[in-house]
Amino acid sequence: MSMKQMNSKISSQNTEKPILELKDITKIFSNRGHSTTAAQNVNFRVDPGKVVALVGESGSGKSTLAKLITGIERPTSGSINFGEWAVESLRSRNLREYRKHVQMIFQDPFASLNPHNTVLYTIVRPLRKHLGLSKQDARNRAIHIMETVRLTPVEQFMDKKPHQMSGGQRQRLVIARAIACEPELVVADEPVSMLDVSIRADVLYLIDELRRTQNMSVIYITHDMLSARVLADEVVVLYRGHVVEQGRSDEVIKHPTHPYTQLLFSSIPNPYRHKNKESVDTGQKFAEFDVPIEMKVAQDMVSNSGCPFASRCPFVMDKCLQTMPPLTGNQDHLTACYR
Amino acid sequence: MLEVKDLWVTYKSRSGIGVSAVRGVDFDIPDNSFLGLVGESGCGKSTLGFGIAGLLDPKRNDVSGKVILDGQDLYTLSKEQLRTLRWEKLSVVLQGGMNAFNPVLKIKQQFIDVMRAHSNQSTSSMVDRIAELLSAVQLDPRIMDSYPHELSGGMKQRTAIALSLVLHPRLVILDEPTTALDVVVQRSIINMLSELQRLQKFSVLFISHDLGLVLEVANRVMVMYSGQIVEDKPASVIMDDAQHPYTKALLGCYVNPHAENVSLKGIPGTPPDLRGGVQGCPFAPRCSFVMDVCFTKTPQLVKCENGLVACHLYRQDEVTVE
Repeated sequence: MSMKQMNSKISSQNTEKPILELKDITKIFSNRGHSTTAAQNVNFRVDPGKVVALVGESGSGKSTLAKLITGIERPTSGSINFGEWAVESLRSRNLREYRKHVQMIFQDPFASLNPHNTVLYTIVRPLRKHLGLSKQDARNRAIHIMETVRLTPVEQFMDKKPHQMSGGQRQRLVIARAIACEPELVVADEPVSMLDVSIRADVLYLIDELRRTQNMSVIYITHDMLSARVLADEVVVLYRGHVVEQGRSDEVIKHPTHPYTQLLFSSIPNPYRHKNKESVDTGQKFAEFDVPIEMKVAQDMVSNSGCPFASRCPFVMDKCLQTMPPLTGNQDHLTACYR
Repeated sequence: MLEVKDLWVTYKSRSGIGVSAVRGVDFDIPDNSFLGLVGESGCGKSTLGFGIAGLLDPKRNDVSGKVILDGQDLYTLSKEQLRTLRWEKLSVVLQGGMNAFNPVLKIKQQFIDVMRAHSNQSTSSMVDRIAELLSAVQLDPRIMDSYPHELSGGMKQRTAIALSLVLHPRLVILDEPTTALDVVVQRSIINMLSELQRLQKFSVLFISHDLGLVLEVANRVMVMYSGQIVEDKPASVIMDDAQHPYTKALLGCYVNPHAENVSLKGIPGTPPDLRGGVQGCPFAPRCSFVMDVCFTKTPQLVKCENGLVACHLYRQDEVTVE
């Protein structure tokens, strides 16, 4: 059975309460009178066992959302509910408890592991700290987890340190550490963008397998539309902190309607482009990203009231500059565009 | 125009066992060509690029073989002769090239430094040239009065490309020029680059780990694995006529984003440890068409219908003779 079919099977089973819900989240970073809007009225929910992909280019606010969800940053307004918890107002002693349930996988497997710690210690530590397991129990659990993420043969890897492992193996260790205390939600921030193409699929399938076997939810942050299509059930496309399109992943990615999503999609390097020459290169139609500095200021002013994408949009209309288009459409596919 | 003959690069190490990152590479780059060099991390593609540009320190590395640029062997030249050659005949844009600008000098000054070192021009003619180059990479010429931190990553990478073209080099080596940028910016830089190459007719050696990207821009592709070139073909045919199992597997990692159903594939296993050299074909342990001979004899790069390939599968005659 293909992964897609399995995904749809899961979706038909789940009619439970969402595990995480973001309501009207806004985050504004201010620095000496200059403010940057990293998230603006973002709404989405994550159901148990589901994968939600946050897609966007750098600076679109996807990592800020990850920080808000994991309690590293606090939103300027809005609420984040995880079960009974209101994440936006957690105190630091509760945050530790919260992180038993919500874990993070970082982008750079070379920087997110302590170089002094062995593989076994890296996995045992959260087990001892968060779950309070005894030394022996934690060790047995850790060995089991190593088998799950296929860091095998276990005896060989147990005492290795990060520098003795390849990038893919290190990323498996980062995943092992994140799933050690069986969190309900894992936030994966670009987990494969630092890895070679030949081992990317492996790590993505591991994440998919884990969410199926452990009913874990995943927030998958990426700029790669293709992997989002393969892994995710739902997609949220972000541009400068605004949700411009969201919905079921195959629906949104196969039939993108927002010009920005279309631009993202046409930017994917595609060796098949030569083969089907008839497919038009939509990338050319769009205004350049690298606009002169003066225009950047103008862009920031636009983003305060109108559509943030207006200055790059080939289909821009007068009303785009005045008010931000609301998200419209059905539950499966919402788009914020007047077109 | 550029010929590389039997180039070997071995990084010396304290333990005495060197790492041979480039193992007997032969190829040439004709005038006005866009050549792509693809491989996974650690396959030696950047080392090869450094080797060609003469950027490897002979004290720390064993380099043998010849790199001949316009009839001159780079490895027989003195430091002074190499200095004049760089920028004028051959320039390099590094992976972190956008961070290689001096943060306290204006962009303009950094261009002028290069031009002063190599030619005797008036300031106004240099400024004209800078403006011309910046417009060529689709930037507003006014940014020449900015400092590097005022520019975005994509703008800096464009500026780095413009700088590499300042003295009309014949060959530009680009080592992962877009890896640190996101897809949209990458797309626009790639479009700009291939346009520029078509107009100005310099040669490009484009080093990247992303076969999909290279196939789109290059007109010839070399695939590298564990320090060796395993396949060398025109980009237009390699999609349909990849012969080496590694190239095939690598192509399998890409999916057509327009396809109805997508599933991702990988290549099982990891590249070999290059310490102490490799016996047989380096790809053998990961190869699905592996034969006994692959573990004992290293396949040589030989002519095939559309290009070159290094695999025992296509040398049946020789295999049976043994």
